Amino acid sequence: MAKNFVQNPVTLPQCMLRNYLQWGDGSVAIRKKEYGIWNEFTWKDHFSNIKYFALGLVSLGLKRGDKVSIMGDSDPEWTWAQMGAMAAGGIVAGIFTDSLPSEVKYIVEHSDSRFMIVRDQEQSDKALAIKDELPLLEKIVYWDPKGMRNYDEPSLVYFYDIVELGREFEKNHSGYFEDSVNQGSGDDIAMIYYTSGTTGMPKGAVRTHGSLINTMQGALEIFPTRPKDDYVAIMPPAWIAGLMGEAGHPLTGLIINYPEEPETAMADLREISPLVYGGGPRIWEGMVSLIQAKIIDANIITRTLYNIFLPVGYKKADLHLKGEKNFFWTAINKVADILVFAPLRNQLGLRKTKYFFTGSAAISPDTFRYFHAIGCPIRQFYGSTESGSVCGHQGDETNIRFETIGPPLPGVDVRISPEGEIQVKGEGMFSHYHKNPEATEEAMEDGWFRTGDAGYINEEGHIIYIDRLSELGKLGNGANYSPQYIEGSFRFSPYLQEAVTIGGEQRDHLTVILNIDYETVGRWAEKNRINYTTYVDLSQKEEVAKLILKDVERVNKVLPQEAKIKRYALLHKEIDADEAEMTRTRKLRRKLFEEKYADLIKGLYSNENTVEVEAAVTYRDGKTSTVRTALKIWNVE
Amino acid sequence: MEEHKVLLEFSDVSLSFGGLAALAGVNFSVYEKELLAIIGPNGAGKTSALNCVSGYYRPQRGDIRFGDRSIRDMPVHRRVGLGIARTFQNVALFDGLTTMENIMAARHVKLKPSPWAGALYFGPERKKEVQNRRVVEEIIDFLEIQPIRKQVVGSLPYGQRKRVELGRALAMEPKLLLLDEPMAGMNLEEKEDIARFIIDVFEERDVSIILIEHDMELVMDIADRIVVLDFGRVIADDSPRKIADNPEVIRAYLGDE
Repeated sequence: MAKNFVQNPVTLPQCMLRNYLQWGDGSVAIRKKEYGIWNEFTWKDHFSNIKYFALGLVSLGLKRGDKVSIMGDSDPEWTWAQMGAMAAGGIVAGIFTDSLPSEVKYIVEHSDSRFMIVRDQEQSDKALAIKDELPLLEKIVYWDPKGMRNYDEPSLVYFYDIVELGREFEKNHSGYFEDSVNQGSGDDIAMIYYTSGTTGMPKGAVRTHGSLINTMQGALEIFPTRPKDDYVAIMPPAWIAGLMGEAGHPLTGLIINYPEEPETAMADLREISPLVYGGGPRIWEGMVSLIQAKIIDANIITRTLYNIFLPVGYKKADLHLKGEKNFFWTAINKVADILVFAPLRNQLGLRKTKYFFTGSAAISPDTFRYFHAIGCPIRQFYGSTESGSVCGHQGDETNIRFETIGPPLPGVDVRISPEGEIQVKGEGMFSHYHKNPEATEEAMEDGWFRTGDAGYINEEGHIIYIDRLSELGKLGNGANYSPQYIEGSFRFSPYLQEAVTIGGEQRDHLTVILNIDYETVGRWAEKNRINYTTYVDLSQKEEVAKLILKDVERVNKVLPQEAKIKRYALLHKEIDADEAEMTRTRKLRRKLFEEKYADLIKGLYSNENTVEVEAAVTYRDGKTSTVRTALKIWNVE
Repeated sequence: MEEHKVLLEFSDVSLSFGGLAALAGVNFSVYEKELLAIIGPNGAGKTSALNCVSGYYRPQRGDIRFGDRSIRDMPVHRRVGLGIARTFQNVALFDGLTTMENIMAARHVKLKPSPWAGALYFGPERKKEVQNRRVVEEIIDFLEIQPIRKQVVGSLPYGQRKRVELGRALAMEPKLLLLDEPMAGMNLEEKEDIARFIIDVFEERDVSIILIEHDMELVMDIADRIVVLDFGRVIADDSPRKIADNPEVIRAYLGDE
């Protein structure tokens, strides 16, 4: 095999092969924390797992074009299974680990998967439970053997037994693997990404190798990584953002660090402090809430320093974002950085981080400004499973704009439809929805993908994102409002977890339904000597309602006079993906939510101060029951 | 279970505090690779029996044999050396140490330290430390307590401290594991977790277990055999199914009609 076997890789496995040939045993490809230690895998170790897993699948009968579903947390085996299946010509569908059995079944069935690869016993059980109903599914492969000793189902195979099969296979089929990788073309289908969407059944967006590589190159415009830079894999690998974050791994040799367990991810992140860090707005909102909650509990010196210097950070960030330079504020900010912001970033595990990004949904301006103030210049990165990478703040920090999501990436065309919808055309798009031509047709308009997002392009060529087109609200009095913007602003509060804006043309003012954060509000209640028993009890306390009123007033301040929030309620339970109130990536399913809480919404627009609500609760095992409580409704002013 | 050898044998063991008889002529055996549950009403002598095994109490009459030797008069640390480890009804950990250090501490019965080599952390001593750390880490992984590895135990919630305590007992690599109400005060989910760990320990390691537990449903599910104590006497010693139908057991638990 010639050393320059793959000069110009067009598939992901070809990229991996090139990296292996380039670095071999001399350079670290990934790290996995296990038994408290970061274990390093060189490109040779990494690649041989991909190779022999691929050959193992082939010896079990995988043919080019066969589908493989993978469900599990971010682990090296996820990547090995994914790249291995692709190297053998397979197509991969990822499944979120917290999916309900019915969702899992839908994806495995709809994708026609012959193999299902799962992490552990819990997921093996889910897979076995649906196995009999899926005639196409042949093997279930698990990679964490814990608790699996009593299983003797013939369809169940251990990951490393397949790797062994692959080694055996190679003895009689030397060169098979390299040929298989070489056969791949950029037009081959690589992945089917199932997007739960905010309405209806999941749709499988089909992505080719070429389009994925294009999408990943787009990501590298936002965060250009070099070989041996660090990344921590904390995003769910079943989400396309997981692959975008790792873009540098196949393309430039970025090192992926896999956390020990999902529960240890934040501590592991701190140990590595990656060069690139980002994710949905919720990651950032969660961080602000965490910082604010910790500051509330901090000692007086820390608290005072924080309170003195945070406004300095804001001042500097505002000037910076406007493109102005001011020597005085820059100097003071240096002091602030040494005393407060740098230690704070260190606590968050962002000491060495250079590129911060957010995407997937609108981030609230409060959150965005906050991170710029503490020295984490977040960039916007806009894209989707279907459209690939669209736009973002590229180049150096002076190109970051406060209110935009950046200019289009190279090779991507963006236009605004007469209805104000952002439409995209480029190399990085999906091909079609798997077995769903109607949906594909609906999503496309003469070769342009309809994002369903409302926005416009400013004179600088930056795109401004407003909201989902379907969710953009208008009140009866004609005033426009953006639910996502309002809800993001609420989530900035350490005491709130979720918010749902209610409005619409048949109403003349806004109301909100809020979810308190049990932990921080609970701690606040303890400090203020307020007794409570459960979430339900705490959420209905008058003192808590008063605490939250401050946040409502804060948000109201920036809303126009005609679109102010007049009443609010604190929901008696957390809004939950298990009850389909949200998608797995935590986007609200607005219509379903409004139907479910129709009584409450009616109450919000009446003069009543309490509403009896009855909510169906679905437990993790699929059982349902109903809860009855009296919810209080509070007035603003 | 009968084909296994006897690991621990109580013969006619009596223990009294002043005039109060905690154990009155107790006879029972634990076989190798057996999960034995001891049940009984409060004050029946369950914990006393366990304390006689671990060496907290010394019975006035009778004999306790572990393998082929009598351990009746043996000091606690030597029993640990033989392979007897326990957890306590009320968690007894080093509150100021981390989870890892607590479990590591238990490994010291396995070390034969030389103060000089230990102080220099050099050569074989270093190797031993690394080996022991590995065993500890495997236990941490097994009990899924990685997120609290470096947290001070005193600050942990009760359910997690119980887990750490189980981890410490496992670190001694016991042949006989004594669990005194490992699920007391836990909610259903925590109970199920611990029950799963107990079954995993039992099935994956070469160990016998004596379990004291009040949750009858759980005991019936996981025990191979049940010994019922009442007022210091064994009133039944049988398989879970037969115990459930035993009129004497029902009387001890529910009283006379």
